[in-house]
Amino acid sequence: MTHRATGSRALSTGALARVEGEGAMRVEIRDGELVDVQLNIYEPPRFFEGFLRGRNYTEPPDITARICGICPVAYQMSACAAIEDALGVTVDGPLRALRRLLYCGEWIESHTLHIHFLHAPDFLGYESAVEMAAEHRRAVERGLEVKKIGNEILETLGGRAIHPINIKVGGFYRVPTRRELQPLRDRLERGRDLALEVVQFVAGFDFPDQEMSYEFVSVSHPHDYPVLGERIVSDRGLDIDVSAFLDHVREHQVEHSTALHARLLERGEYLVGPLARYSLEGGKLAPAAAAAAGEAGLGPTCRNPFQSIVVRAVEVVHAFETGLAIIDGYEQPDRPDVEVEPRAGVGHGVTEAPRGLLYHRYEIDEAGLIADAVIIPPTSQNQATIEHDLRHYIERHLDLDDDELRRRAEVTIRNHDPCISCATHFLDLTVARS
Amino acid sequence: MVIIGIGNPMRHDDGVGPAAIACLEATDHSLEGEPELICLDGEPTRLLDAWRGRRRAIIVDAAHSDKAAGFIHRVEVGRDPLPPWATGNSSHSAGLAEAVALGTTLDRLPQQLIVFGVEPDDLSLGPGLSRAVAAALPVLIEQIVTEASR
Repeated sequence: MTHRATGSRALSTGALARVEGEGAMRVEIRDGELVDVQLNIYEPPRFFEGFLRGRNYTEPPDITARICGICPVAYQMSACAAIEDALGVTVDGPLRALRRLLYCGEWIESHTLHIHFLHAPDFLGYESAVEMAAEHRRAVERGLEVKKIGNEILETLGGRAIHPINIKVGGFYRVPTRRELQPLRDRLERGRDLALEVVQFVAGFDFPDQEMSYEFVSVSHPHDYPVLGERIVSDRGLDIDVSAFLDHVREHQVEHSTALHARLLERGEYLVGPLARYSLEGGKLAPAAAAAAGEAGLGPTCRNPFQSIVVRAVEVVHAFETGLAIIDGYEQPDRPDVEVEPRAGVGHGVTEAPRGLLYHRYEIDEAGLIADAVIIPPTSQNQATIEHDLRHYIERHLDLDDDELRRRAEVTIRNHDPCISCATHFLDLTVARS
Repeated sequence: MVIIGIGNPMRHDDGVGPAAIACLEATDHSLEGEPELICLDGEPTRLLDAWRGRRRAIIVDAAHSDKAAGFIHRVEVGRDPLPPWATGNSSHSAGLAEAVALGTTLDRLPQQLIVFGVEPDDLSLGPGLSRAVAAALPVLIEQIVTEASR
């Protein structure tokens, strides 16, 4: 139903399409003015932190991987990092490199799914990737091939593409030989070439002119573009050890969502994810990815959420380049893991999921059982900012009729690739004009 | 040939697809041509990859309609209309229907694609099938074996 553009109205989307999980959106407009915007996340609470209590320290990587079918590696990696921190274990050298390679597979898979099947239809004027495929067959087939190569990395290192089973606290159950990685090298070269085409493809889209004043927050590493790391930085002075994360970030409940909202104690809402990583740590991109970003017209920072699709495409190139470098430098370690002994302690772990910073904290008792667990996924951290983006966009486009406003509001949400399943916790949109 | 079980074993009867695959793996059903047995979450691009290049594919999934729990639907894609239960039940609200539509557009469908859908009773959190769906499992396996042997 289409309402007149002016006056008072309530607009709702009952089921947000092309997002991960179940959510809704409600927009209230009174006397031609925007009164309220709510990203309602109604996917039922999942209580993962609760049922981790009493489990063995070896279990969170496999249990938390079940939080998300798109980014299980992120959960495994942040869980391992936090538990290893608690137990005083350092995983470095070839084992750390293999973890980064595995993570590259997940970035490639997740970003490529979002670019081609969730986000690109918005810019090309299609309702779905199926419609888009009829007229952009080559682009969709290319997306399928790139994504499949990401799967192959997960299968090679993780044992399978969904919820990998080869990851453990301290490393892996089995590591590949140099020879076993060589077939993957050829596939990564093919993937890198295709990914460069994808950057050109998405850079040609027509982007609304919108610059947002986000506080960007990401993991930082002295040399690597952020994937694994120990420090957390922002463009407004935050520079902390992972152990201080909860001293600066508070989660709070809002009535309209089963996902907690996270805010910086000092300054409030902030943004994690591709735009933050690129803007804060873009100087550490692999040369081919940095060159692709330049050719795509990206500057040293990117504050236009609609251009996140270009940044994701650049990160896919980076992931392939990183994967190639890791394979070229790989020497099989003597053992697949570092020895781990349980002890009482508290540990913090942070890594960069495709959608942004993913924090885990575990308290472990003398017997090696989990006494307490805290998991803060990227979508929880971005919820308030997504609502801010919606408010900003809708306020400037109140003249649009409900159907068009609803469509564009959904695009605004999809810019951030929210993983609602992770945060709770699809999108229904209600616009109330009264 | 490939037989694909779709579903989440941690949501009780939603795991009927993976449960069927586990049954087929665990017992000697003398399946002709030794079809590949795999479990997936229903995400369309993974389905497209899984049946790519196959002449025949069988899908086993939970199917929520108005039938009694344990009822087994059989749909032959291309001959029968795709029922409502095949749409919008997985990540990104995309699932089997989108995979079939994308496969049709990109010429990536097997020559024959059979879908078995089992009516669930319990889709809440937790492992294990409900009594009604567990009782239907042997019948389902028999139908899959018969189908695979054609």
